[in-house]
Amino acid sequence: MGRLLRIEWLKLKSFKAFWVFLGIYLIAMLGAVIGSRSFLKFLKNQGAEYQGIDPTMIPIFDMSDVWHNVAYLSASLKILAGFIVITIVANEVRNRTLRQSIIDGMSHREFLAGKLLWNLAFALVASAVVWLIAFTAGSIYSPVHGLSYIWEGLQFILGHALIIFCFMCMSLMITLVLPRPGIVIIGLLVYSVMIEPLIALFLRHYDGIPEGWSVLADILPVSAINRVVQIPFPKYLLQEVQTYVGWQQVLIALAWCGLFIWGSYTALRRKDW
Amino acid sequence: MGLTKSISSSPILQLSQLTKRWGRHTAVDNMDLTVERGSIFGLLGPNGSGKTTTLGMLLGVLQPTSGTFHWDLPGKAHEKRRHIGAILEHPCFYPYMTGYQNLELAATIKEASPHRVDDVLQLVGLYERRHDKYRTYSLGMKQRLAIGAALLPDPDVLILDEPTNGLDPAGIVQIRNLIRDIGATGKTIILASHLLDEVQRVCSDFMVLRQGEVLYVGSVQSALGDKDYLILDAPDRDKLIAALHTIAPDAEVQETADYIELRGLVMELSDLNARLHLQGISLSRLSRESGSLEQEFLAILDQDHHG
Repeated sequence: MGRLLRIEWLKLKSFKAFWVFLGIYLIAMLGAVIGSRSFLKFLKNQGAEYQGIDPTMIPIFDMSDVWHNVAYLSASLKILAGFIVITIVANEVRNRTLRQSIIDGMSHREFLAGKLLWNLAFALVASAVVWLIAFTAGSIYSPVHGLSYIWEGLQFILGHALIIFCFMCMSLMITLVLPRPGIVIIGLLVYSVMIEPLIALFLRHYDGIPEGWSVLADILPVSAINRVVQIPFPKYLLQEVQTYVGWQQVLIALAWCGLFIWGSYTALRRKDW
Repeated sequence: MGLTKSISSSPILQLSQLTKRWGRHTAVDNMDLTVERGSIFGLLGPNGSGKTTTLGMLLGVLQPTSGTFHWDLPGKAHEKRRHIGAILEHPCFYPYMTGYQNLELAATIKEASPHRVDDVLQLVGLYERRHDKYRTYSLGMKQRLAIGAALLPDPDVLILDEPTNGLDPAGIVQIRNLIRDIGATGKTIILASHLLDEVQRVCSDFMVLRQGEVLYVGSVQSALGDKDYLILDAPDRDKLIAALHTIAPDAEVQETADYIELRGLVMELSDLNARLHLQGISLSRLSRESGSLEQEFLAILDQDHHG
């Protein structure tokens, strides 16, 4: 395991595109959190209010809401983590270093294990950053503090890690099947933002769809991954939301993960490199 | 078509009916082959003959359509490859990494000692440029780095696909000598090349491929052995020809403008000279000329074409 992680690190430590994407990802994570506060201020300045409540009074950074809110905001940037995987793997295919790794004695399984370990390490480190951001925001803005609040949010941080890991696995599989970074990045973006939401809309609202089939909308890949940490903000509008990471959602996401890993392995094994 | 070369000592590689097809195109067709441990084996063939495809299958990057191959090396399939140093087609490295970093990565993958990195960089003459980015290297330097990477694990087998591509004449000589030196240590070398002179100079055995079919497999010596001929001349050429007909009645004597060619002689050069001397003939010229692999190769291709 140490050898595989070292191999990935040696490949990445001087890869400029990786550091640029990583920087963008970190800035975006911070930006999403700072931006949400600024957005509430903007709403206030615009005179917006809800049932007489000042938008800046909405306790998005209060313990223990802050964990759920920051984890959700950061998870919405998962596509950037996906771009990092796409760039790395496509680079290996383009330079034929994936092929050379196999020639040099890596099995397909080892190559995949290296990538999965890397994805996992990345997801965990990104989630640690999310924890730090949430902790800092909570420490600054929350009227209540304490260890119990910190542990309370751990489920969302782990949920965030699962989301990032799953999405990176999905990106890995797609890139191994079609190692064209431009096409894959645009395709993934279009699929995540347009195609899948449209399919979900169709499944939920089209009259011709048999009863019960609407549940399929929740298990489409991107939707299933997203649902691990569900949107928290409607609760401030007194709407019902899931304020925990559910086992059912975790299992569905893990099932997709398994499928992506199997797909990646099959592509690695069957394709000519 | 399938030809098997019988080897008495332990074979290091055996192919059985190995085939690779892409759609309707057959790149390698039912190839049977045995490569002897310690031999320097040449793969000859025109472009598109299936040399690289064959090596790609042997190195695990192309999936055979059918057939099998077996490396007599320790470990599972991928572990066996760690005992093989290989360059397939072009050198494949990370352009944004230095020569040293690329070899450090290769050593980690191959589980070779990191101390070997400096040694092989010295060996291939890139030590001074080891901290330069790979993308700044010339084609010849890239090729040398690839050879360095192939030598990292101190391999039992070395597979070189067109190793002198892009090298200047001095580089070609350096690599040729390197191959010979490595071969002399008892390692098996498989060398794919379209440079027939190169194969003739370094290989002990060779195979000729065309359009995925094996046209010939055997030793360089047996292919060229009976192609040797003698060049002779004497002040009295008629007397020399008459004497040659007497001494070697089965040999073929051919007179050219400058000398006499004698083919099919079964005696030693010194014996021939002594017997001619007894008949009062003093030779003004006597030398043994070798056949060339190029002639043989063209003959094999031509034979197949017309056959």
